[in-house]
Amino acid sequence: MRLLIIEDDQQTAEWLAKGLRQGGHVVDIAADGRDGLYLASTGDYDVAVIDRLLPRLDGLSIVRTLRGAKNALPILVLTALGETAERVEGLNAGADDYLTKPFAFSELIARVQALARRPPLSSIETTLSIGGLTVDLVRRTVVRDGHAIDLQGREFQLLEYLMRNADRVVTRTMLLEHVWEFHFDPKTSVVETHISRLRAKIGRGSAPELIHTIRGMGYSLREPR
Amino acid sequence: MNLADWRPRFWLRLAALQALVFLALAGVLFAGLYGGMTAYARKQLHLDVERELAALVAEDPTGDTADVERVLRYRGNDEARLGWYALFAADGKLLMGNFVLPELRAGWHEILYPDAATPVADQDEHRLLVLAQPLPNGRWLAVGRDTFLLTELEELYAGFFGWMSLLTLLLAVAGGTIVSRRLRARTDALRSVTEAVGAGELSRRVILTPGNDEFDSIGGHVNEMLDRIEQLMERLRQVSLDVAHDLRTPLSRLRQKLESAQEAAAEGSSERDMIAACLSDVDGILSTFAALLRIARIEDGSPRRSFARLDLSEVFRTVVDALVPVAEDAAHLLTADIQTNIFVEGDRDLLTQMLVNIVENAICHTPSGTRIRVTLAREAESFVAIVHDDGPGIPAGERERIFRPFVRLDASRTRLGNGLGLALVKAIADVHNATVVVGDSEPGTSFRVVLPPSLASDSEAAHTSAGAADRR
Repeated sequence: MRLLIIEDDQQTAEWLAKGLRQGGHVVDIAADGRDGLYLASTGDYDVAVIDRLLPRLDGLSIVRTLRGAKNALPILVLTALGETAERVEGLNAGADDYLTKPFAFSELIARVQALARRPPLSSIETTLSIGGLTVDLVRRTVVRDGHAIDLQGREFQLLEYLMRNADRVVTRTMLLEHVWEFHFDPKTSVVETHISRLRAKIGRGSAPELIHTIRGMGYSLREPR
Repeated sequence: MNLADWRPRFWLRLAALQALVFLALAGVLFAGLYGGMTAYARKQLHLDVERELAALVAEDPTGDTADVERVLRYRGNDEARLGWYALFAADGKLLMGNFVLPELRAGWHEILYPDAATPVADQDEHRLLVLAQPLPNGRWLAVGRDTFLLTELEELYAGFFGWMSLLTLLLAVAGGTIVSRRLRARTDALRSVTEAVGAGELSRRVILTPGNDEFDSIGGHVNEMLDRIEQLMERLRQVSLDVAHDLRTPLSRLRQKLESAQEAAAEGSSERDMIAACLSDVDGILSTFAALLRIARIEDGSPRRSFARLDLSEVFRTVVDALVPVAEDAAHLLTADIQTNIFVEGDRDLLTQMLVNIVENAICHTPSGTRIRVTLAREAESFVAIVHDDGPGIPAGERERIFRPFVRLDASRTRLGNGLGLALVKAIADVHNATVVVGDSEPGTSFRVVLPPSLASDSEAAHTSAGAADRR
């Protein structure tokens, strides 16, 4: 992937770039808003990571300018405070996702990957299928190896989100935000508990495990290798 | 000491004391007046008698008393019996006149007339003041005056004094009451402010009157003191926020370096585990700082900018659905009774977190087997949310305290959380003008959140779009 990082804190920018390069990505760094906007509108990137507070031109102005120019570059905004107002403002400006500082690198990479390979909006999938597990999004039914599985509303949403992001790592925070709309960190193990229930429901005897725990990062739904 | 007990007694005593002093003063005044007036009247009476006697003696320069007899005969017929006269022979026999003296002696006599020995037609009792004097021919002349005027005067004064005492008492009581009321109003004004400040309303101040009296002077000093306290509190708050804020950047960098180090360490090595433990400690510190800053942001009211109409019933449903399995794994039973279609103006994220924090608090701090019940219902004009558990409960004295930052009833601080969960709940309730109290619920604990009707818009009202974030 080609990635653009617009971040004025040199240490954070380098830390991100180093980690991303180690993962085999190509990374450009811009240290202020104007340079960042220039690179974003001229370069060919898969995802841009933009800090909200930047010298010369703030992050949201960059996002607005790009969207105003019909630039569909996937954008992840970094904010210092995860307030509702800031988040709503960022998403309204046209950002695709946001992440509150400080964050774990694994969180950032998971979100960047989720953004980069997002299917085009035009292709509306009605069924998702992987390893003998089929989810019908219209009729809201789940079938594994020919057996119907009864899921409650939230469990269905959880499975749908994991299926949509199959083969990728989704973090605990991403699940909290997308499945329950919890934009904070609960003290109790909400995600772990629900994942374990979902596993129990979709697991059928000796059928291979589909939901994998990625230690220190999150979960990944993928076909057994 | 019980202040409420002391206060009214003090003012009552003051009023009573004032009435007593007033009454005593009035008594002394009336006694003096009474004594003076009666003594004067008595003296006048004496003078009158002396003059009369002297005039009679002067009528009779020859000493044969013929002229005196003539005058007495004339005056003795006085129907009104204002004058009392008696002429006695040297042996004490009454020669003429309208009374007798029990003993012949020069000087003043006070006699009751008529006495038992002299029955007369006039049954009125008279107390006479009599002056007797021997004449040159050996006879005795006595002149008397009825003292009924004196008695009447005394009675008049006594009555007057009685009524005046009553009036004085009434005035004293009324005055005392008015004064004590006014004093009490002034002290109450001071007290209500100090009480409110004590309860946490640091911005309250004593209202000073234009009179600029002693109370205003005290009030002014109290206000200065409160200004100072508020400044100190604000500085303290600001310092802790500054610490939280300024340490975030270096801690974030520390975190980044630790992550890089973790990546570099060999998989499964002890260094890697050690670094992972360091990372989790750093994350703990960062999340405490984030929570502190979050509370501060909520307390300054900034979330109100993004208030929007939201379905509170749905928020509650989502939270309960998310936490039911969590509670189950902790061997708790979580149930809910949520009225549908309850819409409020507010911040969805914050209201969600408020309920999550309260329910998680119940899950984390009660023993296995505890039942937790969440209810949301319309009650009169307000919306009432209750999270009740039948666990061991919170001691009455601690119920207020648990909403303060870093307060944990579990003194060892070994349990989950940073001690900010309920402080956040309080801040979120406050910014929504809601109240949150830990109620009395035997057995167990019951959190009761009341959302006011001003924020709670009716479900029939047209939905406003969630995008209207910049209202207000």
